[in-house]
Amino acid sequence: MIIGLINLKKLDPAFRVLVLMVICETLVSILSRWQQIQDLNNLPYLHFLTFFEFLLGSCFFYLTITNKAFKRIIFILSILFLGYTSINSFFIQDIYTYNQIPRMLEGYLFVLFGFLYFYELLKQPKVIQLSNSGEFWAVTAFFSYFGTTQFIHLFSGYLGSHYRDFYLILGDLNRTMVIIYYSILTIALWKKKSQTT
Amino acid sequence: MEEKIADNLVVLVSIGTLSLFTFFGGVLLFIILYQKKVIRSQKEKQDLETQFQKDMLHNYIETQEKERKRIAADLHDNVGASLAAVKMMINRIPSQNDSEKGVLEECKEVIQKTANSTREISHNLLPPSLDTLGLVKVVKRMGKNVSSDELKMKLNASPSLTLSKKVELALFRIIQEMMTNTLKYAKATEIIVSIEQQKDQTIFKYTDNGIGFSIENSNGLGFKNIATRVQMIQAEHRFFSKPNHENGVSITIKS
Repeated sequence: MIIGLINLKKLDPAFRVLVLMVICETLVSILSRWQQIQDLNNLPYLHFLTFFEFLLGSCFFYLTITNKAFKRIIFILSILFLGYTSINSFFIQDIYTYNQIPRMLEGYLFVLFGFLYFYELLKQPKVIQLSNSGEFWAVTAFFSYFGTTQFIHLFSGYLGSHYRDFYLILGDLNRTMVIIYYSILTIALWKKKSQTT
Repeated sequence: MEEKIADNLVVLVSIGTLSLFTFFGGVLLFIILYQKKVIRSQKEKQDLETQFQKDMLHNYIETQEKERKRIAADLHDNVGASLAAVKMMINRIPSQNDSEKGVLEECKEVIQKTANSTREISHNLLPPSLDTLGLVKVVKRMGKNVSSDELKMKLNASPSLTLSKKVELALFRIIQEMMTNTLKYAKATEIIVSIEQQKDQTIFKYTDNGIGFSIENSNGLGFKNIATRVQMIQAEHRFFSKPNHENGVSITIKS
């Protein structure tokens, strides 16, 4: 977040959206942690996070990918998902319960968008050095977290409501993936900053 | 029992997460390796194309030299000899009066001029004296031919300069090429050719004080020819241009 904020002016719109997403995630983490310390149910923040995280993440992919057909796919799926997650939070599921289906769907969609990006990357005539590409690292970060935490989201709801201790173990696993996610995002922002200077 | 189920679930989730991590890691690795393969094959293709162009230019120059040699020989042996024969025949024509004598003298003059031009063309194509006299003397002669009130040519080189025939021919052609450009476009008043032979290298420099040229646009055939000739003698070159001051080429030939 710090690297993103320092270099915000040098970054292109896609990466500014990414920085905004990171800020959003950080704020929600702080607020939900504060609620947890006070022994209050912090799951409403997760519903809120799912919505805005997906909104900003899909904006990043929309701005990064240049293929018009892919952009249309991202746009339509984003609208559908945001609609579903809103309805789910207010009408289907209790806002104080773990929203595992939207979280899983969010993961699948980000993985799909990631594959669209990689497909476009491999098909374009201009070959780029991947290790120096900020976009590549950012999509890798999405893959590393949203792609790998499917099982965590699938069982978190059940374990959270029945076996709190085991739920906390899953929380540790999730936090490990989050550390990897943010580390790779840091590399993405660093590489993007180097690209633009 | 229920705790065991929960424990198993946690193990399942951990294994599942690790598997997914490995899977996506594999996908990324595939993409990186594929991209590296594409970069490598593009580089190979580019190298092949560059080598092909180099070979084409080498062949072009070699063919050019062979043709020049052939044309120079033909001009000397055929045209030169024929003109000499015509001159001899004219000398044998008995002239009756002054006007006939005048016409015959004019014919001999024209033939002589034609023979001189033919000799000059033949020498420019392939100076026979390059083999016998060496580069320094031939360049001095060139300098005398081009020098005038508006343009002076200076040569800074030791008379005892020793270079291989291949290098001498390449440098001679480069001087010809650069001089053509100077005379056509540069509006220069001075040309300086310097050849400095050091222990492990020879440094050649051609400069004029003309209006200069754009180094970024130095992709014309003349510059490419120079670059190819430099490559053929395994040397390095650098074009430079400071208008109205110093424009030209510097070549370093390793011994």
